[in-house]
Amino acid sequence: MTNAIEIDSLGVTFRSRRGGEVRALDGVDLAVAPGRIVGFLGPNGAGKTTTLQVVLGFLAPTRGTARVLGLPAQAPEARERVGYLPERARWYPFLTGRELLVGFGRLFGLSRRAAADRAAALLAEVGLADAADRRLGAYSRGMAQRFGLAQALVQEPDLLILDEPTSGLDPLGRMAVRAIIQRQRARGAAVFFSSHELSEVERVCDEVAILVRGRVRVRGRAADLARPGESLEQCFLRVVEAAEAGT
Amino acid sequence: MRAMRGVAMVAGTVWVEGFRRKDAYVLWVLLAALLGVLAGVEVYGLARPARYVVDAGLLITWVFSGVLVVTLSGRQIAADETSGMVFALLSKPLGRGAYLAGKWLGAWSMALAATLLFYAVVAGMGAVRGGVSGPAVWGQAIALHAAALGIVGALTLALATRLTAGAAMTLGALLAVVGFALMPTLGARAAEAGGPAGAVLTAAHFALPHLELLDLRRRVVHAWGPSPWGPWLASLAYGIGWTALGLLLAWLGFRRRPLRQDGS
Amino acid sequence: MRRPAPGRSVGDAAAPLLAVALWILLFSAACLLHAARPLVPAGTGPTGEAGVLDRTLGALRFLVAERATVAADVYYHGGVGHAAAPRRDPFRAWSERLDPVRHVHLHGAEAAEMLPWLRAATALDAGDVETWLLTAYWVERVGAEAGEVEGVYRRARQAHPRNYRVPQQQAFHRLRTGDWDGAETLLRLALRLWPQGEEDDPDHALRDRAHVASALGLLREVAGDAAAAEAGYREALAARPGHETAAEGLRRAAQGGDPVEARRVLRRLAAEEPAPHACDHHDHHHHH
Repeated sequence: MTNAIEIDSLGVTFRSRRGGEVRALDGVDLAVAPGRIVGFLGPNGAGKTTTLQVVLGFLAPTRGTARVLGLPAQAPEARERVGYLPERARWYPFLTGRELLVGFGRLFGLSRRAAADRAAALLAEVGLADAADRRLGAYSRGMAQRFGLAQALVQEPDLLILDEPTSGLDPLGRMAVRAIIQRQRARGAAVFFSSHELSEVERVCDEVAILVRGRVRVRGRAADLARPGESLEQCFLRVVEAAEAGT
Repeated sequence: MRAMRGVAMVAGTVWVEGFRRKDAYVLWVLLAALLGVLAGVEVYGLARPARYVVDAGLLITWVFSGVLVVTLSGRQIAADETSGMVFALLSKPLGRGAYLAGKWLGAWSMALAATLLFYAVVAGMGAVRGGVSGPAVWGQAIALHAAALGIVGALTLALATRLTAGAAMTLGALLAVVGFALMPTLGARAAEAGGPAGAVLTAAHFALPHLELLDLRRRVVHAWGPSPWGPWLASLAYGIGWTALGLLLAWLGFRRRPLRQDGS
Repeated sequence: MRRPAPGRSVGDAAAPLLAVALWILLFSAACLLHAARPLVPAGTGPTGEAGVLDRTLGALRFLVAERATVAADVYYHGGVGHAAAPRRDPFRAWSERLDPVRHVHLHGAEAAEMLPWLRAATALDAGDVETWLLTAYWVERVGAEAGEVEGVYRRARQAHPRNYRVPQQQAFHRLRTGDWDGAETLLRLALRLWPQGEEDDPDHALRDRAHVASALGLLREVAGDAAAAEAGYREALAARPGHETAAEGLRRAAQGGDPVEARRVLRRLAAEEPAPHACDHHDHHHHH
């Protein structure tokens, strides 16, 4: 069975303004199987967003390969089956939630009517039916985040990529997001998300990968990664410290 | 077909934003008020003078339409990048080329629609004061004006692929002002300057867009009648060519550029 | 309560306004660069329209007035300005095929099109007597009511109470309207205001003096006062020996005068008054 994400020795090097080179990713290996929820952890600047950008085809890798649903990550066809929630996205403030979702539906080739039906269903699914015709600029942080999930689900994607899906949300908001993610897994979609909320990751994810300084240091089930009596948070700190110390 | 839909979707968001921000309304009201004051100036009890109203109205129309197309096309990419919208859009089946084309089409058509309203006010005021030119020359002038907006919009968009919104708008506006005010005399200046400076000016003379070739205000204001069709068509083609070049530059600037949410 | 419009920063909303401000600045700079003549702030009081303009534009209004005068001249020539002889390059050739550069003049009532600019020029800078004279000349010729013409002369004389050229030109206007008494008073005023060795162009001033004096002679001849007529003609000939109208008048006066002929000559002089020019015409780039 084809993995939803297959990353092999991925390297990304940026040229700094002073002419030097900055290694953002340094040989990342990672796989996400269909129907699995994989949490992607790492301290700030570890390369999580860069990895997601490569997977989404926004950035070409310097070395290695990234395949999405069996296709090269850069291939436009890959985008047909991937849903993405960007971090801290602020949606077009002058459009209503319904208008923007219909627009996105049209990008996937839906007819106007089908796009409208799909938008209504999605808004109901994320609990925004009442706010469908309100301008996105008037949405609260939690509503905007739920809208973000809705727009990532327009075409019922086989792979869902979420960048910090629960950041800034209150407990109710987190619960709603968690429920949506779990429904996607039940449907058979793979979910790959980066987060700083370790407890959230522990609760939702089937697997965890920890990225430090451009390299995946450990990956596996959260329960397997932690030593006896260790929480995921303690495990995370240990891995990061070890990587920073160069061991 | 899918790409066309993407272009239309992106252009549509620019339109809705443009409408709901009401920038164009503000300018339209400003124009009507300015022309109202001008048309109301008492000129020795005479009903006849109309040209000064049309002249001032067309000048303001050019300035306002330029402001609109520069601000609309200059802020799009940076705003989308800062808000993260560009990631949401490009993670869908929407190529970067279609994204840029949609941004340009939205900014250009929005500015053009506002410009048509400006023209309606100016022509209306002129008609109230006795009329100036026939519909043919107005049509010719508006078509070339649309082409000029296309050029300025495309070049500003190209600048915006690599610069901040503020820098792109400033340079786009500067390019528009230079295209109008300096280009007509740049050839003569180059000859006067001579030497290396002259060579630079000569290069600029041929490398920068001559927007004066798209400006038929004198024909409209001073009732010269329509331009001969040959040079007019050549000007229109010139405008379309420069717009295409601007869009090509925008695409080259954007197709492989890394995207950052902090806009850097 | 409504939430404030989201996603709209002050900077976004201000951008078009900033651009307009920039445009005004550029326009002002262009005015500065193009100011060809020395500025004449004389005769502008802080009252009425001029006061408002002074407060809003400051000294800049003299520069704008300068441009308005040029605009009037450009309008007079059908929108074609006084460009330097163009170099032949492909863009210029193209532009000329697209856009007219032929030399034309506005005729009859059409000339009213340039009056708004002259109106603006005199409002912005009352200190330029040429603009006043040009304005009065054209206001009369585009068919404005006589009261409007007189109004221009009245304001011109307020702004330039010691300039002979205003009553001189006004006198010929009165001659055309048939107010011969008024014309005579104004011609005498013009002679009284004569500059004593401080005129800009002595030759032109002497020509004017001969013109005014011979017109006074004609008026006296029409009234049947041959002696006064002769004095007028002599004064004209003193200012400009060989002045044809004065010489002929003097011959008639020597034979007791010919009121009918004098009236005919006077009417012709009034009708043939040439237009004052806002701009020097030697820099015209004419394509006839």
